[in-house]
Amino acid sequence: MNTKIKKVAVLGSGVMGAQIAGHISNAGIQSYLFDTSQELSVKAKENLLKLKPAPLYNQKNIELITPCNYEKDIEKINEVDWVLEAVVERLDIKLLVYNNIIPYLKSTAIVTSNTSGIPLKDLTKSLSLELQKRFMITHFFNPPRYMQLLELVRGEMTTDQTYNTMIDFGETTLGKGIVHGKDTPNFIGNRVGVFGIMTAINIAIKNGLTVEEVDKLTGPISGRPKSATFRTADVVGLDTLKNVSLTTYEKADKDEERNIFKIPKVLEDLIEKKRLGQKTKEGFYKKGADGKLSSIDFKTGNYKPLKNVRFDCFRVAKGQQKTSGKLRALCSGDDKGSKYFWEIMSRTLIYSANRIPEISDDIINIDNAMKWGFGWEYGPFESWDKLGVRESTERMTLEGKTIPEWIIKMLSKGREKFYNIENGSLTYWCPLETISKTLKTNEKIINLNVYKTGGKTIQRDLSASLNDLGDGILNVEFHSILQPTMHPIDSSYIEMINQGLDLIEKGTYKGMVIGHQGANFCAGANLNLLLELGLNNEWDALDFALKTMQDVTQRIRFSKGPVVAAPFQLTLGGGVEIIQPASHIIAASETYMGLVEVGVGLIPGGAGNLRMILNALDTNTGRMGAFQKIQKVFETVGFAKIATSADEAKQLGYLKTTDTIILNKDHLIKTAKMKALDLVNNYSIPKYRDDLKLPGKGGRTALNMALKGFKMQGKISKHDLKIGEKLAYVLTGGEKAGLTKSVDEQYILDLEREAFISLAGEPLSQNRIKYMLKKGKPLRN
Amino acid sequence: MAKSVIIDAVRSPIGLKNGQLVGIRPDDLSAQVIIGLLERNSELKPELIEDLIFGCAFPEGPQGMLISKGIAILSGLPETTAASVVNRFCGSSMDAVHQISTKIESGDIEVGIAGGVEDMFSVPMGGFNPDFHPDLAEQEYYIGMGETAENLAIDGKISREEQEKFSIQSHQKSLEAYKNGLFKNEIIPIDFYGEHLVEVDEGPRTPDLEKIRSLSPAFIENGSITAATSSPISIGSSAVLITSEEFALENSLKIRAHIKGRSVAGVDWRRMGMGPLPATEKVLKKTNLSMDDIDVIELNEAFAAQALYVINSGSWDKSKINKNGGSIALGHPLGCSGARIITTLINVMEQQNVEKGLATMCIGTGQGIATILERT
Repeated sequence: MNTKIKKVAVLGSGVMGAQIAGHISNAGIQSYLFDTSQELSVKAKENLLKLKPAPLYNQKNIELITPCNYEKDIEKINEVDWVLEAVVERLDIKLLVYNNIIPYLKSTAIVTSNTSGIPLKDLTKSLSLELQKRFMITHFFNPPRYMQLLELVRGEMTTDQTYNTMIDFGETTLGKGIVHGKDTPNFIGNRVGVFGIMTAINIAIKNGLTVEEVDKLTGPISGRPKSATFRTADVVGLDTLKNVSLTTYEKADKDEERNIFKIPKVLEDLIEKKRLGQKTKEGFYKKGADGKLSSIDFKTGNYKPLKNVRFDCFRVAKGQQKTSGKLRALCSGDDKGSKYFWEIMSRTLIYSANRIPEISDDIINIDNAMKWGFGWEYGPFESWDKLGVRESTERMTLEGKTIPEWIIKMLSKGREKFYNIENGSLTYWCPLETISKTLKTNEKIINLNVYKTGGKTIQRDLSASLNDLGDGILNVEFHSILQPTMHPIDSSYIEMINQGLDLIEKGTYKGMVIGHQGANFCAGANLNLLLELGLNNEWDALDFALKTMQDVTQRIRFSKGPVVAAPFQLTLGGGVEIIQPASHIIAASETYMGLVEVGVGLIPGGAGNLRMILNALDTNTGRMGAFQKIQKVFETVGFAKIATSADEAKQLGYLKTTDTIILNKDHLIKTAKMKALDLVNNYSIPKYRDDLKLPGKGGRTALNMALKGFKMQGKISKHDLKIGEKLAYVLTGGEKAGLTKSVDEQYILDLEREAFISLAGEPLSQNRIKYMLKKGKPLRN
Repeated sequence: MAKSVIIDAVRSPIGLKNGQLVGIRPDDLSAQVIIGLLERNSELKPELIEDLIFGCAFPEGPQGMLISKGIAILSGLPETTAASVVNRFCGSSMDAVHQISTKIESGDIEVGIAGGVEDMFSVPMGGFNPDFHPDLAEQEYYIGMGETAENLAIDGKISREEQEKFSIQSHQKSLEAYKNGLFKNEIIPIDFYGEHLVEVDEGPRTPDLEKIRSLSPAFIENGSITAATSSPISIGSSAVLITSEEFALENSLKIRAHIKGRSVAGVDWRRMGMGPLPATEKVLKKTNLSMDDIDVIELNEAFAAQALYVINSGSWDKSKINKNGGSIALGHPLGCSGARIITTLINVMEQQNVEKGLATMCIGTGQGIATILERT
């Protein structure tokens, strides 16, 4: 049985300690944040409100954190179920801190260290046998709210109960992706990740590439984060990078690539000159007083202005839609860029493979660590699969590189890929047993990519599918062919939702889950289509498209069986409109939701206004009357506010207060399915509302006065004013609503369509759409 | 005809945003002010107070349900005390003073309390449920107050620098007054539900010139008015005890001032801030006085531009005006301010040992109101 963690003590209120306490508060759990003085812990707590990116979902969460000091509050240790130590990386100090708290520990309390470099065996040497059973390492990545990776390392004495408690708490309560490490230097993430960075630096110097050239190749084009290699190093801090790298160099003395972890002169020089990256405002990059960026010249050690980077391989890769195609293109060119990319890629692949069984017995934990801790779209073995294992190992051999034995063995056994998905299960190659193994399913996760292959897709359209989740529950899955990471709405989505609802009507299925496992839930409408219709004055076609969208949202709302939606990450515009009518929403805590149509010169046109009105009127917010509720909606939609967390989406009224937020996005589909099943019993269809009391003309006049004020203050443009007046017209209920009159749902939908179409014909709105399509950000005109 | 006299006048400290008074109910706040007033005048039996009239600009929510009667009950006045609420926006509680004194002079009552309250944090300006008439909107009836002041700044060619200088002086004068204990006699300390005691106004502070100059215009892009040259959103309550002269003499109550004259006047609502000019003209005429006869003036400072417009256009003597600072420094809780400046005026007249004083203010929707007091 797992230990129940209700209260936590975090020892050390530095960057990591404080932010971990912050994330624990995001999960609704109380913590004591300890430091050597009250001043330090109080300051660290207050700093959580200022840090960017924000460590808290909601500023109010801070109330769950109590700043403490060892002298005054040490007895509070006996209240907690988990003690997380995140003090400075010095063994003597850590041991001192343990000695301090041990007398006060509950006999069931778990103690973990957030160390990234001190061996577990050194930490536990002086601990009692009893405590060793409840001791392990929990290694978070910075910033802990946003980095999914949590590395767990157990000692010889650590009990299963201790270990399993932390797995479950980390995964379900804190929403982390768990990687099982061993007690080896820098565990998995930093061992392989820092190898990648150090290799990128070393080979760049050797091959004569610039900082910006490396970042161009090792950024999003290769499925890595925007910060690529050198910006990541600057963010981490060059001194920290050096420390982590030296830990491997000093402690992993049998590492065949050990020399790569030595600190190159250029890095030493930067550190010596206190150019430590973001925290000192200069590192590999430097922002000039004029706002222009420059980067370090490896030859001279001086900064020079950034130059535009052009590589043929990059151009070819950019033309590829999928990352696998991009990776192949980057590796197979014959320009300088491609040669460089292949060199660092192939060396990283081989290095990762050689780490088995040293740092992990399997490939999965290594891939997961790189995806969750370093933001790689694919881990090393997944990338290798994309490149073709046989083909690329042949090339490596020709170049004189040594291929790890176990891979040669795998290929000789006729296994061409590390991973394989078929018949509803995922198999992976096990280097130790030299056999293919089936991945055990986690009961909280339905991995759609794997699950579907078991013949569970009952209908597949271009950009969406209908899957059978079992137990009478359907799933509408988005997989946009237009933009595979943003998933904008296309007719495929509407078609699949309608077909799913048909099946529920017929009684073939009982309920439905709208959700998928791409990068973002849905970034909104297909702007290209809207623009085209607007430019060609095809008002009837536009009206039809909007009506179709509105109708499907109303069908979702009045479906015979429950529809549960499961948004995550970017959920904008039409994406919000698709989920809002659901019977219930299971949102990932990291959901960035907003009705942002005003940014492109429009207002919501797919029932977003009606949903916001219904959410607002049904919310019991103290003294707020209809006018104030609508005024709040007006400001939220009018300023195109994007919630920075699902929690904030509730405050802004995009979500209902009764909707569910979970921290682990991988749990969404399963949790949504269980919620749908739960709702199936005694499901009652919501009542059509014809009693909407909206402020009407009088209230609208007041809103318009406020708009004019904004215009006068220069806060909004003339065109914003026009859009604002249209929005006010819809939200206050047009001509029919008023303090003594009610309107119904369809009336609002009709108003909304009319306003949308009139705005779509405005040249200034069309300019906004064009700009967004071209630059990816809103135009102010 | 009877004469009406002021026996005493008090007020709460004025609280600002994020300050120590935010969160107190306006009725609780006012009850403490009334209790304080009654305690200071214990020789007067509460049973004799016939009417309690309170001014309030947005009498809804916690200020609704006839707040004056609620205040009467909370402050322990007997059920025989009647109560009403009067709304003349910023002029509300000065109007309450006018109403009580008029009732006394006509012989309807002998003793009453006039006061006012506004909690601008719990009730928004415009109220909870604004419902505007489109035709009136067309005629700019709902024009923002800042905009009306910008109009006056333009009409009167009043520069941003002049406004800033005026505002800085308002703060300096009130800080100086605090230093010399000049507010002590007018403020009733407020107990915030046992958590803390609030004894002083939260507004006055040493002006930060650099910051003042760096502020963006608050109402109109490229306008001249900023947050520093406007009166701040605030909370406060005030109360004035008025009786007939005869009653005061019979009951040996010390008279602090006579109410000599009252007036109201209407002006262009797009330039509402000029209201004190015709109101003052009227009240002087009725009392057969001239501006030279007036020793001290309390001119409510809604905006520096508005106050300067009145002062410049009327050629008023600046040295007589707002000796202890004004609303830009102290705050302007709408419904409270009229009785607040009357309270301050009486104290200033006593401090300066002068006879005649004028209190006047502008009113949103285009009005002015004025009162002349006399010490004998």
